[in-house]
This record gives sequence, structure tokens and C-alpha cells, in this order.
Amino acid sequence: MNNEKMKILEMIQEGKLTAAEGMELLKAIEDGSPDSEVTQIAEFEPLKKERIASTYGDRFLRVRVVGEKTLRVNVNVPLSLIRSASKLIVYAMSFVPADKRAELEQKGLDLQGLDVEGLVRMVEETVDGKIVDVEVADPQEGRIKVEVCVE
Amino acid sequence: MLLIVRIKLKGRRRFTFPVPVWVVDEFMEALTDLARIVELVLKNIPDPREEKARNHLRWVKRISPSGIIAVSQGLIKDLNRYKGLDVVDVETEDVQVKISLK
Repeated sequence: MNNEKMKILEMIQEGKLTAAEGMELLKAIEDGSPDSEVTQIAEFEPLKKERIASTYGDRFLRVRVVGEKTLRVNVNVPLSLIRSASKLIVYAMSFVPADKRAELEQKGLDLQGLDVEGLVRMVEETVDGKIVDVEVADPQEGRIKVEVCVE
Repeated sequence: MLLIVRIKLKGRRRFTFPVPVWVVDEFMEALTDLARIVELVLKNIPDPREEKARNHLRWVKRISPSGIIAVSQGLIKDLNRYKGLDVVDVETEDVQVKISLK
């Protein structure tokens, strides 16, 4: 806990957080209530982002799902890895049977012409920050926060 | 480097699968020559007369195993840059799954 407070203070000192934002985070830590925990986890992203970015010097696609109870999903995939994997999609397209491919072509979708790598490159170059930020209420899990971002 | 898959079930059962990335890379390397031979053989097989078989063979010929292996090797090479990264960390009431690079 103290470590987290220290990090917040350091970030205020470095100008990465405003004093008001820092106070809000410190208050959330001290309150320790489930509601503030969700906020805290979501708000703590800059800290983690900073750490990951400085370690690998790369951009990441991050998926984060936080539920009020136990649900917690954290996926970090480097964009360069997605770009490499996108080449596999081109090969995967050749597994689509010819008749199905012809069917899709009639509908105007040319699977072989899909530039998945280009799409990933475009996301890498132009997208920064949150792509998806959704909050839903689940009868079992309670409040669930879903975030997808490129950082 | 190891790709570590950790699964923890509700009843305190815990499984850890360490996958050495270099072993996968070596395996791919070993498969490359075999894949090229298969491609060469497939190229020289004449098209069958029956339409269904002909279409099937054309579909098989279109797949490039050596290309798939080359891309997979590139992916493995990229993975090596991310030592220490937690790629997936999922926790629910019943199970916890973590995939990390160590």
C-alpha cells in the first residue's frame, strides 16, 4: 500500500499526475472500499503503463476487465507481436474452402485481399489511448468495467 | 526463455506448464525442410480427373507449410524481446489462468 502511495507522489512530482488526481488516488487507497477499489485499479493504469512501456519500449494492446467481486482479466499484447501474428492470418485465409471464398467474393469480400498487417500498422500509428471503455451491471459479478486501449 | 502457463483451480489444484520457447523454435526449424519437400511433392502431383478431388488437391496445394513455419518462427523471435511480460492474467471465482514469459 505504502509503495503505491509513494508511486503516486513520485508521479505528481514528475508532473505525470495533477495534485487533484493524486489526491483522488490516495483517497481511494485509504478508503479501500470495493467501489473505490475498482476506480483505483482503473486509475492505476498510468503507473503500470509507465512500467511496461519503460521496460519494453514498445506499444501494447491492453484489455482489462475488472469486476466488483472476483473477475479480473488483464491482457497485454505487444503491437509488434500482433503485427507478426497478422501474417499468419494471411495463411489462415488459405484454409477457407474455395466454395466459401467464392461465396464471400460474390458478397464483395475478398479474403486474399485483406491487408491485416496494414490494419495493425494503422492502429499502431494512429490509435492512442482507450478504444473501448464500457461499464456494465452483471447480476452475479456486480459492476464490470471493460477497457481496451493502445498504449 | 520459457512460456509459462499457470492454471489454478478452485479446489487448490494447481498446474504449471513451462514451455521452452527455444524448443518450439528448434522444432519449427526441423520441420522447415520437411515442409519444403512436401511442397515440392505436392507441386508435381497431377490434377485428378474427378472434379471434387481436383478442387481438394488445388486447395491443399495453395497452403504453404514453409510459409506458416517461417511466420511462426518470426513470432517466436519477437517473443524473445518480452521476457518477464505477463501476457494473460485471468481470475474468476473458480479458476485463475496466467500466461507469462520468463
